Amino acid sequence: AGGSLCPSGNSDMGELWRSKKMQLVQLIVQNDAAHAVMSHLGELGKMQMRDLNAGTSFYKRSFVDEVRECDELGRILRSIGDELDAAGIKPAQTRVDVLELPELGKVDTQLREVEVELESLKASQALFEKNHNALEEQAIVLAMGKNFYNTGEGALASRELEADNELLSLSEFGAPSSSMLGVVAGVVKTEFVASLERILFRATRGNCVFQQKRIKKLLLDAGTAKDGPELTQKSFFMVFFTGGVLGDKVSKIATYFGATLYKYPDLPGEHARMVVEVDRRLTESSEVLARSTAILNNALQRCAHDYALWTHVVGREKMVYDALNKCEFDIKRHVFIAEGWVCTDEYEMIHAELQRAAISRGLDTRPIMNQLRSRLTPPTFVPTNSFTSGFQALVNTYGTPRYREVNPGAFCCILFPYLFGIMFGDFGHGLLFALFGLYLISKEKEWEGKDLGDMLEMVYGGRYICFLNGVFGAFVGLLYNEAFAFPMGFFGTSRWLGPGGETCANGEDCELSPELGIYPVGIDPIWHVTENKITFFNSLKMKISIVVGVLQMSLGVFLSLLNHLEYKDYKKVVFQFIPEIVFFEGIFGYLVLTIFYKWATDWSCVGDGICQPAPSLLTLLINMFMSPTDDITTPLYGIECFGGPEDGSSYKGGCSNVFALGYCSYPALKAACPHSCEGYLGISSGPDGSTVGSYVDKLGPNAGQLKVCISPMQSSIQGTLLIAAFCAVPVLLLAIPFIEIYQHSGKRGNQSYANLDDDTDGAQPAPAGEEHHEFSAGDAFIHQGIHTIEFVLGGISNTASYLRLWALSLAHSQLAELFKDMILGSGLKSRIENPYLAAFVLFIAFSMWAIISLVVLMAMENLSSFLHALRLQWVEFQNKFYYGDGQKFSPFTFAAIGQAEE
Amino acid sequence: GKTLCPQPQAAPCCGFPAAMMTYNIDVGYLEGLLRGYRAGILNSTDYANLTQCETIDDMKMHLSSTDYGNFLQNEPSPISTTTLAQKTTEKLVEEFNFLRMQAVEPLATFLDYITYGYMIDNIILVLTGTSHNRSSEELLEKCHPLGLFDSMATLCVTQSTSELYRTVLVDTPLGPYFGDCISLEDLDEVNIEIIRNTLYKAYLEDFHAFCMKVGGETAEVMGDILKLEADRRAINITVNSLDTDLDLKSREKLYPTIGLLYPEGTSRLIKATDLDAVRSAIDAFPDYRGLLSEGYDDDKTIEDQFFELEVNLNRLAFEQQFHYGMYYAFVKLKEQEIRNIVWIGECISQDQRGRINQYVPIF
Repeated sequence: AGGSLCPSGNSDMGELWRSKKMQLVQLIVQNDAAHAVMSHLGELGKMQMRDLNAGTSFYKRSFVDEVRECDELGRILRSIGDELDAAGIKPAQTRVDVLELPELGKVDTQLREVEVELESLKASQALFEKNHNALEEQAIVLAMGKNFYNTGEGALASRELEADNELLSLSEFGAPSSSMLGVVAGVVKTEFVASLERILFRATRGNCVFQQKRIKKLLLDAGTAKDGPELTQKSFFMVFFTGGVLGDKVSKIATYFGATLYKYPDLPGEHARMVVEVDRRLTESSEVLARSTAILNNALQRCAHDYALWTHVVGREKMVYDALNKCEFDIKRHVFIAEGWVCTDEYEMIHAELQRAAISRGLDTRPIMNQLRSRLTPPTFVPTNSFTSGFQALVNTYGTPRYREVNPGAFCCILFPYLFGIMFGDFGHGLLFALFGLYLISKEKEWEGKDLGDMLEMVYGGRYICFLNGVFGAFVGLLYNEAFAFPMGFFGTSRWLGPGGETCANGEDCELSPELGIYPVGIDPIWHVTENKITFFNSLKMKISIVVGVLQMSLGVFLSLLNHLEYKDYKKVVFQFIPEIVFFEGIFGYLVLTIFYKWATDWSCVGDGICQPAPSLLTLLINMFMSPTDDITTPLYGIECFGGPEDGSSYKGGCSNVFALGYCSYPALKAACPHSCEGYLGISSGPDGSTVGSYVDKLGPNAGQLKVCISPMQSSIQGTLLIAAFCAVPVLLLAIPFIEIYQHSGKRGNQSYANLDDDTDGAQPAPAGEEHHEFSAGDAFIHQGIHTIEFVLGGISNTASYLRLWALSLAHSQLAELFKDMILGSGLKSRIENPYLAAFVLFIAFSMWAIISLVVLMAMENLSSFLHALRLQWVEFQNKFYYGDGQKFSPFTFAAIGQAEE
Repeated sequence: GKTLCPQPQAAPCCGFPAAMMTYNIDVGYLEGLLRGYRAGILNSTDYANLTQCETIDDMKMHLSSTDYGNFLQNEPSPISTTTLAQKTTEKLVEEFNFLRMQAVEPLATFLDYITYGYMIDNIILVLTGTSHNRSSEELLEKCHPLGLFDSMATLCVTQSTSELYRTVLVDTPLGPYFGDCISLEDLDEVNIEIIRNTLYKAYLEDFHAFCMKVGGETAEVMGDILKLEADRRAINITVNSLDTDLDLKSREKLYPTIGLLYPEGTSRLIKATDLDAVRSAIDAFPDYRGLLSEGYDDDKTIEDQFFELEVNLNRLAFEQQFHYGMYYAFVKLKEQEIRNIVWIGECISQDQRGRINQYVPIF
């Protein structure tokens, strides 16, 4: 699908970065050459036409008659198409040769001839069918009527009728004919049988006997059906009554119900003769019908051969005239003036191409092509290829990029699958999904450009998304060391060893072996069997989520810088980007740094460990806001500890003057850290009048060894960051509105672009949206206020929002583990002695596990991961920089014929 | 300011808050649909565009950009106004039938009541047509699809009123309304007219009673609408019977016993023997004042003025919620819209552009 939009076909990934540069051009064509030039433009398919007659109602334009003509031909084509469908004939898939297209006039005459021919053929066919149907019905009436008599129902009916006869008043039925039993037989739609019977009963005052039977075969309804006769369920009925007057009435009523009445001869001899006669005519009629069907099919076959060509020509002409309707006609000079957008790179090529075409078609004049300068916002043209089109579609669903802004589609190609992979992290599931994507990709040649049906079309369009999602799922699964919830041993067994040096079995009492080093890729498999598996993974995945999220959002903020630079909006660089980046990195960037620092530090008391309690990062961040001036008692870095053993030897970092009881003296602490200690260490008097710090901890088993740890460095860094972040907010809030007021107080700011088309629906604000309307200071403040609130609050809530990566990943692995343990596990652990039975149980357990894994994990979990990744892409990432209010470049191209028809 | 002043009525109390709470359980979906359909009713811009069309094919083009969509797509041009009327009606019927299929009681009954009016019209159409020896197929084709019923065609065979009742009507919901007409003998023109008005009177009263039973907002909205309908009937009967030999007694029987005119207005209408008397009888009612006065607006017939009053009421019905009146209003507005489209089409095809703006604007 991407190929059609980018006919050059050689787009590389770099073109995704921004919209291509577009140029507004004017095309001046002589009156008589207009059609040819426009057709050529349609074949090129590289120019988007502007509607120069916007505001003129459609039926006031130059070529409205031609368009109507095309519509009419379209109608004929549709009706021919319906006929072909009904006859089960497929239109021939001939390739349309562009150079040898017949003219519209010729197609017109052909089509109208064909229509007349088909009409007459169809009419005679319908006549034959009707005739045949009538004969069939007559045959049925004869057969079924005889059945009634034979089974005695008829006999019974006549007896009843005779009994009823006595009750009739002589005045109404006294005529001599009343003694004769009249019969009306016919065929009526089954749905009317009940009301027919009721009405007949009432109309004859009960003086008739009604018999009916459903006919098994469906029969044509010659009635009022709009689309010609159709097959319906009908019933045979037979009414017995007395008297000629009633006969009239009965047949009339039956006719009003759409019944067809047939002769039913009373005498057996006549009956038999008629059966023979009807049979003979039925045979004849079948032959006639077969012959006429053959003739009709022949005619349709001929249509089928040209159908594709006709459709193409009509669709093409309609597009040409539609495009010409958008042109301005200069009455004085007899020229058509068209305007439109082309890709700047392709301007020369199109120009040359049009000249060449004009020469080859033998036109007297060459079309003139001018470049126009304009303030109109150009349409956005991002060429895609089969790989990028799927990802770009995800972005476009949210909004087409504004002209020349950074296109998030470029990042979507990798970041989207990566986010998906974090949530779908399972080596097995990911690999299966990637294989599925690979299968779709392998079908590319076979399926491209075909109508696949809604579901498959959608999946096929996202084949590269599927493939990459799967690959990333597998990759992250490898890091999680999980395949179908089983830990894997690709890189050897666990590096944790038991106390006796044996391989750690259950994760208890194990130590990381110093000789083996750590597990080379991903997480040590032993973690999957430990008691604290969930705690461990939660901590890890939460941190991964935050790190990934903050990195992605930072990328977004930097992309906004590129946008500001592209639009030369330097006030936004200084007063929007800088405060934003300071605020964001000061808080969340710092958080990510602390995460890595905490990971990189060995907190244990073994070996090189610094033997400190590891700080909780959550508390760290909360305290950074809530009590920024307090001393940090469980510091992360820049740790300075004071204290020492009684013997006076100093502990790390000073506190040389050790008190008798082993406490570090306050003055000593104060000397070591004058800023952070003063006033904050809860000072209390020691037994001998000395002061001691309340943060003083006992160190080790020896009560005499005491220490206190603080980090003046961390305090000052965090304090600085906090102040910077808080200062950034008012700058972000106030600077730009004031600058704008200043700019507008003099003259109106220089406008960059105006709207593309005033009439196009959903006309988007130009990049400098606020300059477009009357400038209002209040609006500027509100606008910037909203942006500030959105960014500042969004910084917090969006970071929290990335925790969905952890949550979904947790859900996935827990579900996978549950199915593994409860379903597959139950089969594996069954204690059935009989090997055959055990095998059978295992087979059942495995099948169930496989099916549930496929349905729940591969299908449902997949969809939810996709959805959440999409949300992160759209909301958390794109709201940092993306305007998404561009207008897609839709060139005037004949490639759209057929797609538009559907 | 043209709303009819609400008459004090014994609408059942207490339904209101409960109705509000439970209304959407049964009808929420349908109301959503209905309001969607209502949004599809052509507005003044559409009419402005339509009146500028040069041919009906232009109208087709414009209509295809509205909710009507491609409904004329497969019609060979040139399109006749008959096709236009038929296709637009088909659309209405399709929408109505969808609502009817989804509806639960009492809305279902309410929707059925809407169709009874069309049934009466159809019956009268077939009877009149038969008396003029038209073929049954032709008549059936002219019937409004909302008022079709199975035994419809059988109407053609009936020769007397009692037979009409016995064979056809007794089966339909209109049976009970027919009680008063059985005494009539022949199916001549006057009697058919009397049958029509008797049926209509009984229908309106019955429908009114039903709406009162439903209560709440429905009673309020539908009360106003049905009263207007009843008054229109009463005035039309009076005006149309002025020059006939219908005696006052039988005329009195035809007046509906609901409506603003009842009883004071109708009692004066009964006595009216010429147009002036009718005029003075209805002048006491502010809504109808001027309906018959000459020179008020020459272009507008009394018919058109009633249409305007009706459209206004129906439009107001959409301003309220928790009632069924808007279903009725929708059907009537849509019907008016079809009349408008056909009118514009007729004006265009007969080149009577001067009168093209006499349609009744809706929104």
